[in-house]
Amino acid sequence: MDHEQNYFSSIFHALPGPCIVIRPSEGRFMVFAVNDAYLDILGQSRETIVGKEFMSIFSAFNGSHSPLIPESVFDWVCQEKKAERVAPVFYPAFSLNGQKPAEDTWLEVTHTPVLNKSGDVEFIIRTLKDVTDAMRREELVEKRQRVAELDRLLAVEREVLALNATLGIPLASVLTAYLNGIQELFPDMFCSVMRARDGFLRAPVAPSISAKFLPADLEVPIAEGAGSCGTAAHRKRLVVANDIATDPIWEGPRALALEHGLRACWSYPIMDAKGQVLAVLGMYYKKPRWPTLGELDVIQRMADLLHIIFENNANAELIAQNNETMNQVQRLARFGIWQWDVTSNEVFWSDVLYDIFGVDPAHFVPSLETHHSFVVDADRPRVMGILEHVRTSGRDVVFEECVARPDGEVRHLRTWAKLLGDTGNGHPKVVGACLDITAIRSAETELKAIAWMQSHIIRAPVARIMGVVELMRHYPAHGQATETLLDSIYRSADELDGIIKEIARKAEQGKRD
Amino acid sequence: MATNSKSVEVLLVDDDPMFNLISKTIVRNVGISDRVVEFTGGRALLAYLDRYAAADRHLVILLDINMPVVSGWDVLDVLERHPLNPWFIVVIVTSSIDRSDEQKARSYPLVVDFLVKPVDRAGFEGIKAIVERLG
Repeated sequence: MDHEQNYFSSIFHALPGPCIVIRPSEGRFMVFAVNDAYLDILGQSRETIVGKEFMSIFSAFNGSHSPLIPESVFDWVCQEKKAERVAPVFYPAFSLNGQKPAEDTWLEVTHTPVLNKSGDVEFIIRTLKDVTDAMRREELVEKRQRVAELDRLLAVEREVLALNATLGIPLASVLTAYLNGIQELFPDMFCSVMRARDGFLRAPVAPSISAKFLPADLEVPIAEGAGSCGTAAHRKRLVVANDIATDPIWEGPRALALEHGLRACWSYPIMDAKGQVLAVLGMYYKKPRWPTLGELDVIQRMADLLHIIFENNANAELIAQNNETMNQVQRLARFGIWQWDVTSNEVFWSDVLYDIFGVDPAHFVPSLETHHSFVVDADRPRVMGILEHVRTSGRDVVFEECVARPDGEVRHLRTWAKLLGDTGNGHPKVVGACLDITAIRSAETELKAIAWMQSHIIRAPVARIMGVVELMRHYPAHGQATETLLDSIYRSADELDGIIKEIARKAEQGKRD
Repeated sequence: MATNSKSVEVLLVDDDPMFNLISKTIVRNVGISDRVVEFTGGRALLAYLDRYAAADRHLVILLDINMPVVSGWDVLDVLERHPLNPWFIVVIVTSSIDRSDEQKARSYPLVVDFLVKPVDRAGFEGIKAIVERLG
């Protein structure tokens, strides 16, 4: 038996056509055997390949051969248990592990399932056929078509990126413009994009697909068997359903898709830097079909661009939220921020700062000079000196300034200033914040007034009473009639009583106000 | 030492005559000076000083702060620049217990003490000691 196995093994290794045997194992595809001809193409030794996961070997492949397609084909072969031939794949001259470069080669790939006694796929035989000569004849024509197609694709991408960079354009509008542009290039393709959120795909953007199939309130679960898009989001890789009518992942929504004439769907997840699915790109066709190499390239390009759009959008949303939070904090705390471009002498104020200074942002143009004009005369030389010191020394400073608004109201500000960059780098800026402490200062003033009243108004009659009593007790020869002193004590007590009544009246009025 | 005390003139400045009476009684009783002149406002004091062509004795001024028209602060500002300035010794006598008032008062070089009303003998003994050190 061993002898017979060795015999067949020798035959397999000597087969002239490149051949590799894949064994499906719990969703992974492991290399079981590889013949000499296949190794010649790869420029690899048998030991570096056998026993490894097929995708791990080819993930480092430096060529237009997409690592995505074999896995999808393997999935299909395992499900359908039928052989599948993939369109010719171009292998450019490549080198793995420093081996001698091979020549550019076109290969036609066929995947043939080998079933076990239970009827399951035990092995997948991947055979390669060199079709380089035939392909090279077609290559020139295809290249010209491809260059033209690429030019049109680039134009669409440029337009979409410009749109994406425009402030105020909703994400859905950017996506719609992009999908429309792509569909004009590939008239057989009907695209959709759905956002991933909370375990579901939602908010479909699909300008050419019926809203009855992809309604605005659609929620597609991110799960195996939830159509191509839900499954792609779950598997986090390209999922190709070449025939919706038979593919098991379309079992649930199959009838609805067929009702709308959709027969193939390829779905590609858009992921962020942390590997989380942001969205899923879906490409529908009205006939069953596998993607060509060129279409796979387009899918990859679309995914890359969508990734940029979604990341930019997420960042823009984050910035907008942070700005709103900052604005809210500024409004609540009554502090405004400012920036002075030293080179251009341009000054920026936040909305709250306009409010603090009592000017209308629609008509008032802030500048260093106008700021100085608001500072009250007594403070102006000191404030100007402080800001100049910040500019020249680069040291942070916190100071207080008193400004008079156009309506005459005086505000007390605690201001912080800091130099960004330095005068040597050609573009220094002074940034800062002004906290409106007028209310604090008013409270301090009121407290001082209360303290003054206690010291000068209330204590005066008390001190007089105590002084007169001291006089009567220790200095009987003071020369004043007792009646005069008693009268003074009574007048002082009466004065004090009047003050206390006035305080009580003001407190009562304060309560009512 | 007693000769020194008797040779000074004490000027009491308070808009409340009763405080002037109390101060005058204690000044005399403690023995600071028998020469005591009372004023019920800063303006009257300054007018009195203007009549001095030259001083031949120290002038101890017991000065209230909170007075109408011309306050104690106004008086101090004038005294700082007054030609008789070297002869002045100022003691603030006030009902104020505000620390900022005391800090401000002591910032004037002329001010040698800060007494809070009601004044008593102990406070004036301090003034007497200052007067006796004048020589």
